[in-house]
Amino acid sequence: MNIKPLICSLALLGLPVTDAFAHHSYAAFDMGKRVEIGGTVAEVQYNNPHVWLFVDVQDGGTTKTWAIEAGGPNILMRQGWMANTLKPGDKVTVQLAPMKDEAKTGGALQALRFPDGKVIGAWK
Amino acid sequence: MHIKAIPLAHVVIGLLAALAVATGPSSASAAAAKAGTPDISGLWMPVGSSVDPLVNSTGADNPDTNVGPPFGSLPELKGVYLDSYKKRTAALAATGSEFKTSCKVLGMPTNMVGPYAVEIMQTPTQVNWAQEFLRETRRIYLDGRAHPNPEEAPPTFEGHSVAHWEGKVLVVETANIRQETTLGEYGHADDALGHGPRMVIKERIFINDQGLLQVDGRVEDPDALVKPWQWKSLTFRRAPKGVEFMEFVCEDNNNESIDAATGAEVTTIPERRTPSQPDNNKKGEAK
Repeated sequence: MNIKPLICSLALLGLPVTDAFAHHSYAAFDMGKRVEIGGTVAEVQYNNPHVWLFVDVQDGGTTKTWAIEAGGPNILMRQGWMANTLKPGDKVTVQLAPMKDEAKTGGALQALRFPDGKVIGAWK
Repeated sequence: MHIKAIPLAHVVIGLLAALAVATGPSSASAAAAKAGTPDISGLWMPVGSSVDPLVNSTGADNPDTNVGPPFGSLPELKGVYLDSYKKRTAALAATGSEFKTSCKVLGMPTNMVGPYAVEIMQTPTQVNWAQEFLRETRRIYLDGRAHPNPEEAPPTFEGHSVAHWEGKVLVVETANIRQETTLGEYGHADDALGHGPRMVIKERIFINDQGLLQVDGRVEDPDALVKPWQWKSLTFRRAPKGVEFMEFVCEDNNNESIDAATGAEVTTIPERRTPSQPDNNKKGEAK
């Protein structure tokens, strides 16, 4: 679902749009940047307050593991990503906002394409 | 008007109608129905939030719904309260943060813009407003009691709420709120100058023409405000059938902290439980 037209529609309906927040501000991430990766799920930590997804990405002859922070289960279960949706070995593609510290392969999840093609977040 | 938006608006109307049919009012308190008051019991999702069934979000993204101040406007503060606000915002700007990370309850009125589900339990004499986010619960009394004497009862984060029904509108007045809570911001005033001791919040809560739960709020604070502050209407959509209230424990596995020296927010990559290879992010190292 593309959020922009949805918001436009909500505005047409006269529905006020409230703001969404987490418990922290993502200051450690460059929210203006997007990095796209494709790889294999190495681990899923399905916890409060944030779910972390680890994805192994082949880079030449080496494998790099990306650590990706998503929202919490309160959000993801409602978006269709349940605790058992992703398993190690699953192939995924991800768009993320990278950590400002470029020495880390970490990011904040912006969009995720599951093995069945379903996408959560706005794929850009 | 964007031409493409017209059919989408119809889609949204259809979805809203379908949701209303699918969920309807919860097993309403019979007592409330008898009294002829609306039944607002049930699970509600903040419109535009990441748990809104009409929003597609990862929860760590910055959807286009996430813009502007939390309540749509900022109050006009004055005196020491304005000074306190300026000090907080300058400190945040210096570290590049929009707000200070915390698991501490937000209190009134900020908890009203919490991003997760709200569960309302309604009886003829009390309405409980329970938030998943930070596990805050407001208790709103409809039994005619008065606010406690502030000389006797210490203030609380949620404050003390009393209410009555005016037709289909629940009219709520909240007082005796701890001064660490802030107005129009998302966070606390560590110097306890977020607002004045005499602040009163007046809310009108009702189900609007679109079937959304609407909360209109007005804050009166003769010590801290140049004039009363009316926030932009907050709206909540009934959760789809089958969706249940969920526990949220912010302190559990929390990877966000504040650097004591710089005040900057720190995100720590959690330690792997089953590393498939040497961890190139050096387990648990703070960033």
